[in-house]
This record gives sequence, structure tokens and C-alpha cells, in this order.
Amino acid sequence: MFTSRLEDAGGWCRIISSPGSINDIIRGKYSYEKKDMIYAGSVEKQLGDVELDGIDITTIHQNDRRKSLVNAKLGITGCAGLIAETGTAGLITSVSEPRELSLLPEAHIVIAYSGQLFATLDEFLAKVTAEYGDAQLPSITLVTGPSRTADIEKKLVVGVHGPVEFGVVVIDG
Amino acid sequence: MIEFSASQFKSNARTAVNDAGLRAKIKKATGTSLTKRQETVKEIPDWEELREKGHLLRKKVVDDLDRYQAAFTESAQSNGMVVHYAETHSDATKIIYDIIRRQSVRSVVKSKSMITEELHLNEMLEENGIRVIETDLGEYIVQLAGETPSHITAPALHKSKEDIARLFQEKLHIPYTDDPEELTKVARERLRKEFLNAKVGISGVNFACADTGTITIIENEANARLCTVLPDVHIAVMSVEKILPSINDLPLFLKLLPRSATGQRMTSYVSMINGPRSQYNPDGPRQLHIVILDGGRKQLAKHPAWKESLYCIRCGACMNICPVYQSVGGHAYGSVYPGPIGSVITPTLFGMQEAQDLPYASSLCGACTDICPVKIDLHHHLLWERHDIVDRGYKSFTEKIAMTLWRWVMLSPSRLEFAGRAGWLLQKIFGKKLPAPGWTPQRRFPKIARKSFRKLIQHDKDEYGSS
Repeated sequence: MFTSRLEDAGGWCRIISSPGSINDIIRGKYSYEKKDMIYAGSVEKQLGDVELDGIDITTIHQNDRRKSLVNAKLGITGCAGLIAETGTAGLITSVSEPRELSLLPEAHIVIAYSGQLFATLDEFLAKVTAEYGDAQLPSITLVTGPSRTADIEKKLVVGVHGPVEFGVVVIDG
Repeated sequence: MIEFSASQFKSNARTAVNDAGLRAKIKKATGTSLTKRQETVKEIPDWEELREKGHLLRKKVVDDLDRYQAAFTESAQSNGMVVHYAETHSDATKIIYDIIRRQSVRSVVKSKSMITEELHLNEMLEENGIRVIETDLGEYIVQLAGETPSHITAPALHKSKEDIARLFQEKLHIPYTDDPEELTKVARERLRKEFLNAKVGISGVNFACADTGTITIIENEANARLCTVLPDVHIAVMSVEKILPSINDLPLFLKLLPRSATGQRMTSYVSMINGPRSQYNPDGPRQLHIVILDGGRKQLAKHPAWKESLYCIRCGACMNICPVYQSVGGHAYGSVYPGPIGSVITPTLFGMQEAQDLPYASSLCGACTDICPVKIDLHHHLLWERHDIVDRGYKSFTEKIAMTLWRWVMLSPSRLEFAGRAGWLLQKIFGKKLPAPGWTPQRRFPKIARKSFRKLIQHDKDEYGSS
């Protein structure tokens, strides 16, 4: 259900069994050159020893992150949960994955685990609020597909101010 | 002060109705939204129950505005937001201007917000030398054209792609193209630069959660994200009734709103902002100001019936389905808020006398009430407002005489019989020329039958017996 709902919203989803295939997905999707920087958040660490062959992935620098992210082809983030009902990824802002990372680059890919899937937004939010308890919640962004508009004659155009492309890679197992 | 031209509804509507091009554009746009809405609403088997829940939750807040305002203010402050309260529209614009002035900037980026339209914020800031850059594509188009939005969720709905192509050619000095993708790309490039340089961003608020102090902004383009994440200072403007009791109520309204507005299951982005940059939020603005406007709402909330109009979540579905809106478009209403909900709240918020034509801008078919995701009894509100307008004596002397006469005739069978005959005779003599001012120029007067219904029944009874 998650996949079809995300596709309805103009995004894509791939389910893979080992983190190693992320490589192929990214290379298959994007032709890039060395100068096209690809940025990853903390998800890079989560992936452990996966070698992202020949892809120049840079972890964002705090000082000039905005300048570099504007020119980036791709931003890669993890997420706090996926919501099946609407094809949505829920992101929580953090030092290694600030909101700019999913906002400024031309494309945004979320890497998630199948255990992070929730049926509804209610379940996702209940989990997040329970996790933080009385502590202050950081800002949350729900992303469902690429940036889009229908302001000109109701014709759907993708990529207005945010990423032109949005995809989710789910690692099963 | 609020300025609006709702008093000119009749003449505006006449012009709009005769503009076949405009009607076609509106029909197409509203039709698309309605079809998509139908598809995604159908997926929710308990839609009616959700509407009821939505209604009750909005009622809970509107019945207790002061308490929820206090609770939200406290939560937002503990999140590090600066909360300002503005009793009047001019208080609100002054607060906003002061915040901007302290940053010593000449321009601000802004995402779409109805409340800032209501405040006429852009005009006020520009009078004070601050350029406001609208960043929602539809608003950007409308701003370039020097117009106002004609629909609350699709501001440039009244413009064709050719209109926009000519506008971009003239104002942005680019070669003519009417390809929506190309036009969008042009806007993206122009506005990206503005976002990166902006020191102050202004946004509206869709929902404010009293328990966590979260402000939620719903959008598709990502311009609101850019306005609220990149600048040093973010000013979020909301009217006091935008509050929800709890963050746990958000899923319900996120089910109702995008589906009703554009037929999407969820908009591309939902930003749930929990504070400025801090140890909890590593990114975002250094300062986050919330400006809460009353602007007559607390007074309205005391009215037993009219308070219901404050339950509105600004989806625009009532506009899409309204046969009057479909025929005249948003500008004819002369109010920031067009369509059925606009006709309901414009008189009660901004003045019954000036907006007295708006409650009549309805066929009372009730489609708006049926589609409203929070079950506002819109068409009955329009009827009650008509009642109020008559009670206040705003109707013309001739209309009063005509209505008194009508009542007098209708209360007696013999007077009605006589009036019917007299009417038939007059129509026989004068033909179609029989004038009724304010009525016959637009409508054909119905043909009066020679024999009344009552007479015909009597005749049948005499002829065939009473069974």
C-alpha cells in the first residue's frame, strides 16, 4: 500500500533486501559527475560498512551547509517512520539531518527499514510523542512526494520550490 | 482598517457572468478539484463520522477561545517562540512591521496565507518601504498582475496559461511561453535567489496545537518550508480560532483538509514546527514570532449560531461546489473570503450593512453544507443573515412594501385568488413588458395561469367526485 500511495503522489519506492543495492539504485537513477555533490545525513552511519561505490557522498558540513546543499543533486536522509495510508515519510530534524538536506537539493531519497512502517499518521504521531514524553519535540516534516503545484490551469507540475524528485528505499529485514 | 467592496457584489457579478472566458476557466478548475476530492473521499468509509468529529473539536475550541489561546501561548513560549496578541487588524500589522523593522531589511519572503490577505499586510508593508515577495506560484502570479487571489487555495484560478504567459513576458521580460512547466521553472529560478537572501520569512498557520505549541503549515510547493526554515526570523500569523486542543487531533484534520481542498490524500509537505533554532531544533530561524489576531472573532464566538463560521478550516470546497461561485468567480464577492463561507463570514466579521448583498449570493441549494468537512450549516447561515438584514431595516422601501403586500395577499385564499386573476389580466394586456424592478431585467416573469391550482382541483372534484 505504501508504494502505491507514494506513486500516486508522484514519488517512487524500492524495496531491497540488503543495503548493498542502494548503490545500484542511486547509480541507476542519477547520472552524475564528480562535481555534483551528493549529501547524506546520519543514515550513512546506519548503513554501516556499505560502500557506496563511485558515488561521492559527502556528509554535510555545518558551516556552509546551505551554500553546498543548494548546488547538490541529491540529499539522502533517514526517517522516523513511513505512513502507509498516505505514502508519507515522517522526518524529524536533527544536527546530522537538518531540514535543508531534504529541501534544497534537486532530489531527495529517504532510506528506511521495513520495521519503520506505520499504518496511519495517528500511529506514527503517537509513537513520536510517546518517545519524547515531556521533552520538547523537535520540528517534524511529513513528506509525500516531490514538490508540486497545480496553480496554472490545474495542470500538475513537479518541482516548484523543493525537490523535483522524491523516492524511498526500504530495506527489508 | 478593512476595506472591501462587497457592496458592489451585484454589479461585479453581472460583469463576471457575462465573461464567458472567465466562466470557462472557473468551471474547469473547480470541476477538476471536485472530481479528485470525490475519489479520495470515497476511500474513507467513515468520512461522515470524521466530519462530525471535526465539527465537535472545532466547536470545543471556539466555545472556549480564551482558555485555548492561553494554553497555546504557554506551550509555544516554552518552545522558545515569541507570542504576540493583536486585538485589531491594525494592531497586528503594527506588530509585524515592528518585528521586520528591527531586522533592518528592505524585503521579506512570504508564503500563502489568508489571514495576511485579511490584514492587507502587503500594502501596509509596501507603504513603509518593505517589499513583500509572494512565493506561492499562484500568489506570485497574482502579485505580478497587481491583483488579489480569487480562491483561497488556488489564488490564480481565474487566469489561463496564456494570461500568465503574457504576464511573465511583460513583467519578467522573458520570451513568450505558455507551457506551465516552463513558467514554473522561471518562477523557481527567480524565487530561489530571494529565498537564499531573505532575512525574514512570513507565513500563515493552518493549525496550532494547544498542548505542544506546534504550528502546522500545509503546502505542496515547498515555498512555506523555505520561508520558515531559511530566514533568520520567521513570523507566523494566525487568527485566534486556528487552535486545536492537541497534537493528537492533527491526524483527523490532515485527513479532512487536503482531501477536501485538492483531493490529495496528503499534501506534499506538512511542516510541524516546534520552535526556533535551539538545542532541540538544530536548524531553522533564530527568532520565531507568532502573531495571534482576534479581529472580531471573540465577539463572533459569543453568538449562538454564527460562531459556527469560525469552525472553518479554509479548504475551499464550498467554493468549488457552489453554482454561484462557479458562475461569478472569487473577485465578484469583493471580499478576501469568497464563496459560501465568504458570504457567511464577510457580513459578520466586517459589517452587515456593506456586505448585505453577499448572503443573497446563493441559491440556498445546500451543496456547500453537504461538502463542508467540518459540517458548517452554511446555507442556513446565509438564510439567518438575510433575516438579520431585514430586521436591521437595510432593505429598500419598495422591497418592504412589496413584501408586506405579498404577505397580506398570501394570508387569504380570496386575496390570492383575486391577485392571480388580476395578474393574469395585466399580463394579457401588457404582455412581457410587465416590469418588476430588480427582478425582470435578469429573469423572465413566469406566465400566470388563467385558472388557479385551487380552482382546477375544485373543478376536478366537482366533475369526478372527491376520491
